[in-house]
Amino acid sequence: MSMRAFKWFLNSGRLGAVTTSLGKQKRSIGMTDDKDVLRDVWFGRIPTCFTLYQDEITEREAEPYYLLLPRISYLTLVTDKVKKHFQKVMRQEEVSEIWFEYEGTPLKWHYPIGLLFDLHASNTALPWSITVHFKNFPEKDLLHCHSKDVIEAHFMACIKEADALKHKSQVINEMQKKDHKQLWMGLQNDKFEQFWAINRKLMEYPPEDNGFRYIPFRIYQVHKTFFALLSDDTVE
Amino acid sequence: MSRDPEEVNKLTENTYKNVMEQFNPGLRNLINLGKNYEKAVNVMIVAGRAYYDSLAKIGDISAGSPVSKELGQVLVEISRTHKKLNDSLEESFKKFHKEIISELEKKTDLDVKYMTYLETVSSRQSDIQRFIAEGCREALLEEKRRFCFLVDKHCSFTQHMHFYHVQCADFLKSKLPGWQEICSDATKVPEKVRMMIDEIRTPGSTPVSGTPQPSPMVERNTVIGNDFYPHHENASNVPPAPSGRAYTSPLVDMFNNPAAAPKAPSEKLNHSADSSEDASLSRSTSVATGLNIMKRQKVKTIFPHTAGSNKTLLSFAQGDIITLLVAEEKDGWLYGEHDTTRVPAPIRSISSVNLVEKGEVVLPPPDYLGASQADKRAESAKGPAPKTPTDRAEPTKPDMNGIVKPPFLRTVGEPTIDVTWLQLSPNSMTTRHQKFCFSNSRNVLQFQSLTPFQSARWNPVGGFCEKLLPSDRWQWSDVSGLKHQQLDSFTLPSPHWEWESDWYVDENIGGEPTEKGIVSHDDPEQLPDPFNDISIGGWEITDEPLGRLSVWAVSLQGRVWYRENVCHYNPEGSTWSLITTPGEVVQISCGPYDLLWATLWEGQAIVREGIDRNNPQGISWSTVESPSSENGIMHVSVGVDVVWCVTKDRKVWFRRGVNSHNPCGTSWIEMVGEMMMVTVGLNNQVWGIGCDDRAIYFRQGVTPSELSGKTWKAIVSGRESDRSQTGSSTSLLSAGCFFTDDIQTQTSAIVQGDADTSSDTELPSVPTNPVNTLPMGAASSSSGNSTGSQTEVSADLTADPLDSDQGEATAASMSHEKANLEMHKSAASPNPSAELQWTNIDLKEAQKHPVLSVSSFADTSSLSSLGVFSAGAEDQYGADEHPLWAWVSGGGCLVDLHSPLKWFTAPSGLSSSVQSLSLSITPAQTAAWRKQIFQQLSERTKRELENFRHYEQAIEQSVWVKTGALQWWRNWKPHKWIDVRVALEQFTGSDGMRDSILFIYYMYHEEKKYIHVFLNEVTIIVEVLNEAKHSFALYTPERTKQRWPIRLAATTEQEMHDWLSLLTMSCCESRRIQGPPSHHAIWSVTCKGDIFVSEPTPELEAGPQLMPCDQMFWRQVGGHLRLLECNNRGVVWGIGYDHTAWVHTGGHGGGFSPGLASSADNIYTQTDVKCVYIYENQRWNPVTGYSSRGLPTDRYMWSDASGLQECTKINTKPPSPQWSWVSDWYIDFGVSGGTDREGWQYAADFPASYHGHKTMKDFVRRRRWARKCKIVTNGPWLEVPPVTLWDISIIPSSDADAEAAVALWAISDKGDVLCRLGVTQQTPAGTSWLHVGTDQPFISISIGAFYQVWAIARDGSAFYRGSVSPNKPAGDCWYHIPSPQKQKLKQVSVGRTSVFVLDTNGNLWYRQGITPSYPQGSAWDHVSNNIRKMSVGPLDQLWVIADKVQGSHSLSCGTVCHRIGVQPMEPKGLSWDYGIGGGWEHITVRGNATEASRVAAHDTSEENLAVSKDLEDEESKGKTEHSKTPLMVSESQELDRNAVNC
Repeated sequence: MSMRAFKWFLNSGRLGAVTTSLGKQKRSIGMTDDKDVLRDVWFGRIPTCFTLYQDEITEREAEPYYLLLPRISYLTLVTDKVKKHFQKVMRQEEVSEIWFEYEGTPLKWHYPIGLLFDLHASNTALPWSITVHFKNFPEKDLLHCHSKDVIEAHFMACIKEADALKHKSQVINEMQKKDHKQLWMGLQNDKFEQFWAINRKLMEYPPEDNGFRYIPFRIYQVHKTFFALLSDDTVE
Repeated sequence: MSRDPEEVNKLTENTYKNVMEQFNPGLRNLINLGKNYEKAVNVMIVAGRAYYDSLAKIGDISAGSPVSKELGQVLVEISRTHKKLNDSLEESFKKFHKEIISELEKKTDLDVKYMTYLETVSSRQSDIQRFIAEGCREALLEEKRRFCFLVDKHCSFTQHMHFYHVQCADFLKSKLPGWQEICSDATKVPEKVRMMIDEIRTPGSTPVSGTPQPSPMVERNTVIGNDFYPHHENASNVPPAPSGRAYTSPLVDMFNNPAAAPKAPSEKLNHSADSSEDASLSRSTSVATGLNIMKRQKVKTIFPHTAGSNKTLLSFAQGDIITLLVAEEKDGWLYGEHDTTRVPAPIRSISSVNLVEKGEVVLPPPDYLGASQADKRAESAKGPAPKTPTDRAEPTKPDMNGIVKPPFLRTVGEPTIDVTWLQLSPNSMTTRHQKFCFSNSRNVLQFQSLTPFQSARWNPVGGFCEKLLPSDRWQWSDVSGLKHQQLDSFTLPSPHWEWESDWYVDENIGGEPTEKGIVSHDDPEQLPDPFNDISIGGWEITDEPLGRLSVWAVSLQGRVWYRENVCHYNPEGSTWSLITTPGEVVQISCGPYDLLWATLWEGQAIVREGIDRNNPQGISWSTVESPSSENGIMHVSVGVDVVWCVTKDRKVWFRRGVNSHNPCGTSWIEMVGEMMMVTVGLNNQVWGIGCDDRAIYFRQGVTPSELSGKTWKAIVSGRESDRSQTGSSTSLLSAGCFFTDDIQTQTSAIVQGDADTSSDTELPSVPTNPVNTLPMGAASSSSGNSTGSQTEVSADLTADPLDSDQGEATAASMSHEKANLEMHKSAASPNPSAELQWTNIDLKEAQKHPVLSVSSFADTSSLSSLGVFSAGAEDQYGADEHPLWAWVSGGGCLVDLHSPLKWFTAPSGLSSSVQSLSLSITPAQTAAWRKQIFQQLSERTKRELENFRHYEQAIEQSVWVKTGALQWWRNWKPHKWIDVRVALEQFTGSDGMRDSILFIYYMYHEEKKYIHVFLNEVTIIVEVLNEAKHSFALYTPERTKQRWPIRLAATTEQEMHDWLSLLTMSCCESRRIQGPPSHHAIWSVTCKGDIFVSEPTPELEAGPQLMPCDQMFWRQVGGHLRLLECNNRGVVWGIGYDHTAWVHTGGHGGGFSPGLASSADNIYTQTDVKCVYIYENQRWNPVTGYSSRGLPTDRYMWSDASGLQECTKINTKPPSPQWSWVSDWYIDFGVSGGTDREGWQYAADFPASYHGHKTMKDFVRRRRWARKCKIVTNGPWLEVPPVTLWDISIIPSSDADAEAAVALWAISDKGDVLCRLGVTQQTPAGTSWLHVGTDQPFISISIGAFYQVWAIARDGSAFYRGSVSPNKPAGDCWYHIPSPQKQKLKQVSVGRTSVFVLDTNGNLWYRQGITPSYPQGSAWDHVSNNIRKMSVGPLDQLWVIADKVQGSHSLSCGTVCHRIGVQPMEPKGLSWDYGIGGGWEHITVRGNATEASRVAAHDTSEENLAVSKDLEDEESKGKTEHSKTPLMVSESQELDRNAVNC
């Protein structure tokens, strides 16, 4: 697979991983007011087929599990059902931390699902086939995710990082704890309105400021860690 | 006291009456007369000013003669003196206004309030004698104060007048002799002249040319100015100021309050004599505006003029260059100097005005839009017809230019309507005339109402008063401080212009008016006086003939005129017809449809009704009062179906409910912001000029659904002069973006008229004369900006009216058939070799852009698209200052709702890369881009989702939401209902628990905010009966404490019930409460008969952490009852308002709760009947006896019980829509206190205790009327026929034998004591009644846990029934127990051992000394007061419904209270804990026998006991009963209306 670069727009409230072709476009601020687009982005779904890794020891045959994964979310956040499904056929003592792999590549749970798909599997036939592992956690490739708190912490860190670039963290710092919570709950519960009620604030800037200080975006590459570019509004 | 208090009272009352009824009306009359007086004096002052101005001018003329030079000076001086006196007179009257009229006005306003207050005070005087005397004195003093005030004010005014007269006398005395002396000898000739004459006489002297000096003025300047009146440094009665002289540009007005501008137009000659006065003024302003650096302007003549016999005029040939010494045009006159001859002389501005000097650009006057240009062009095409200018012919206008450069918004070739009308600035201050043009695609006509030059006709005062001063004029003039300057702009008393003369004098091409040309043939008799305001609209009146227009004008005399027969092919119409109005009209606004509003001088608005296609003039006026009583409406503007107005205090108001059926609308809504004026565009869009910053604002968010819009947003309108610095590229850019078509840059100095146009002779056209409107401002602009070769005329269509070299008018013929739009960036150079950049932009096919409104221009930089003109391009002032706008008209501007407007950000020029870059993305690009994204997204969705929709979602969408629009009783003052969006969000928590949040979104100061409530915190949702609203209240513990629930109202009862049931269900769900109430449930009933039930927790009555009772959760059970009783075996009985007995079926829900919230069975229809009472009140007076005429202070003659609400038989409605009347009104004799045979009750006064017979002391009486109404509802209740009951009590049985009979005692509504047999847990209704004999009717009964039966008889005493047992359910005999002293008891409740009673005064008593052997007890012990109802439970717990519980915000009646600290050793408890409240009627806790953790609580109770013992010891000294913790609050405190009351 090519080393295509994907931009992951933090500034679009982590909603911007549309496709590469979109990435060429300069994202206008007005877009955040465009509910139709935002909705379409938010409600992007990837049909996925989860199959248990053949080496896992099961008590009986494990049926594959089909799920529509939200693009704007994290794997470990939305795969409780998958876990439950496969745990049923496994011996309890065999179950340890779940992890996912696609065509031999461990999937980083801390990348958004849409990104993972676009990055690794955009050319495959649907549904996206993901292999589920319960053993042999690839310590060097993946971060552990013991609970949803970890995901939340990661998500909030990204948001804060982005806002630091956009508004010198002013917006995120002015928010109350419950706003942060709402943002996270919105993501967790796939609640568009709830999420955007808060995220909108992160995307706004007073007109006299002439835009964000910087537009945060990251370029993700397969087999490499992402890197972030500092780009201000006037670039390109 | 010697005087009878009655008498004193009367005297007091008379005094007040006198003041209110005689003095005050008189005062009001006085104020009105005073205003008239004021007005008259104003007239006098202004007229005087005009007169003396003329005098000064005559003096000036005479000063021209060498002989009467001195006399001229005298005249000038006289005029100056008088003017000064005039001014001081004005000052005096200003004081008169300020100190008397406005003061008095203020007083009268305050007075009403004050007097009402006093009267209420005096009404209480009957109580206290002392007050009577004081009140009387107060009244008399007050009366005296009033007169004193009046006298005092007038004295001081008289003082002023006296001073004024003294001043006059002094002044005149000192001057008069000098003046007389000068005129004494008519033969006396000045020395110089004599010498001159002598010289002439002397042979050999130099022969003098017979021709007078064409211009002796230069000499005059020096001679006269210096020699004769050296003390008047500025007394230059000479015209052309040397370079240092600062001209008072009329433009200075722009930077002042326009409303403050000239009080009266006064004429100003070039050589105005009063320049001495205004020199200082103009200097000060010119410093600010930078006028001093104005460069002298040069013009090129466009046709030759021979002075002819009049040698004072300048002769010149075509193409001559003339330097303007006085560039400011005065009635068509300029003063200039021929460049070659160097002879200064007056010239007709009209004939010459064509600029030019190198590097200078003449801006066309913004007033002349493309339309007029087109006129000109079209006319020029018509063929030249030379015409000599005649003095009287031209409708020139005084200082039109520059005085007001109205920023205007306009359409370009508005295609949909095909008529563009522009209302040119009625420069409300100085120019009294109006112009308007019509244009359509076929012909272009211009149409002017002429300038009211003529002093005779011109009623300066009338106009002054009507137009200039819709509000307080002094205030304005104070602000401006420029009143003298305005005198200058007085029009010259020019010869009466005649309508027969051409409207359009066009010397440039000499075009002759065609037949079509507007030569008015109006009979002068029928002519309206000069216009004040004009408005055009009505082109879309339903079914009217195509192209018809309504043209309305307001004349200076305040009359309204309608122009007959105006339509597309006859835009000038035929005649004016007078429309009678109810008053003097100031301003008028006519919408595109049938809306027409005008404002009256008095401040009201009048609305034309009956406008339709048959009656375009409408039929009648109806008056709409100003939104605020103090400040009348100043300006009104209407759109399609909206009306906006500005009141004199600059507040902006929106008229609600305006439509074609109701042109008056319903009410005013105040808008945020203060505006000078507002204007409404084609689709109800609104612009305004801000009051403080004088910027143009656009109302954002005006949509068909929200006509009032959301916010004001300032339109950034850069000044042209700023932008001109950037050179032509900027202008090209903007123009290019603008029209998206050919852009040519020419180096030629000439812009040729469009050939097509010229050849098109078919065009009916009218000669127009834009020349005379050539703005001095424009000219000076160019001079101020010498380097800038291009002054961008951004506002699309304004073209230079003149095309110098060719002498041919150029015009953008927007109306041309081919619709070629041309924008001429005018800069004419006298010198062909000038390196001036000429820009000619041909706008091809401009009309292809549909709706050439702002929307299509929006892509471009802000200014151009708006077509706003800068106010004063000639002024080079600080870049940070924005122009101060005076007028905006959006009447032709169609704003597309969906396109973003780019008016709000300043184009910061080419240097600002960011801005320009962001500008570089056009909306079109954005749209295309968006479309692309959208497409990609949908493709993606299709690809990724289409075949997989059956897949399970990773995240269950368990969250659901109900949203709706409700009204909310807002939290802040003034409290009122506001519209809110409400959303209920229900979600499943991570633990699988359902929870809900209710969001209430509201607007607070234009900002969207919300409050939210977690439904698991809600303690009760209760319907609040309110005639006007279907409202309910939401309480949380906190809000219960505050007595401040969230109150919401729905528009329909159904909607409210939907919400109620949903919210109730959600609350129950989040608390996991379902199914029928438990046996231990606490039941309560509200004043409205709604039934609530709460599940008690063990912590409610005992436990280390006592649960506060405001945390109890109540849910509603269907049905309607007056009271409820229950026991801990689940036997629940209720009694309705109609005394029907009901028994609980064990179900739940009912009422509004549908489906799951209700039990499936056990729900039955329930009905109840209750009475609605109203009171008829009467007062006795000696003449007629009792009559329905009370004192003014009395309550309503038909009222509710409190007397606060008026309740007539007709307007009183059933309590809610659920209720319906089932009887007619009848007199109710069953009132406590008794009535006479007619049902009357008597009392000394309202409100007092009433009795049933009249005594000598009774002055008022009342009687109660009742009317029955019935509710049909449902609930888990079954009727227990046939006996109707008054009270009921069920034994709180402690034994758990389900089969055992439950003792149930009741009192029938006749007062019989009954015992129900056969009541068991299975058959709660029982089987039969057993009658228990009594000596008298009973009213209350209660049975304790050990069969102690207590009852209250109607006489207020208590009875104990002996020997009641399961085997002997009726007992054997009654033991009488006396009531507490002087108290009549009304309720009894017996718990396990405790017995409490309640008396009719709300005191709660505990029966002491009850022992098993002596169950009657020994004495009554007072516990509390203000108790309405109580219930003692099987744990001896005491709960009450208390009145007048004070919350943090309010007091409320009917609050559930819990006695805490009740212990075996402390049966009366210690203190009160307050629960849900406001409107509770009944509670029963007799089911709650949960004894859990009683033991655990023992320790603490011991402590409590110890503490209380200590307290008791302490307090025993003061012999206070420590347990008596009254719920007392001050009686005078009113109930807060915000609380939910019963």
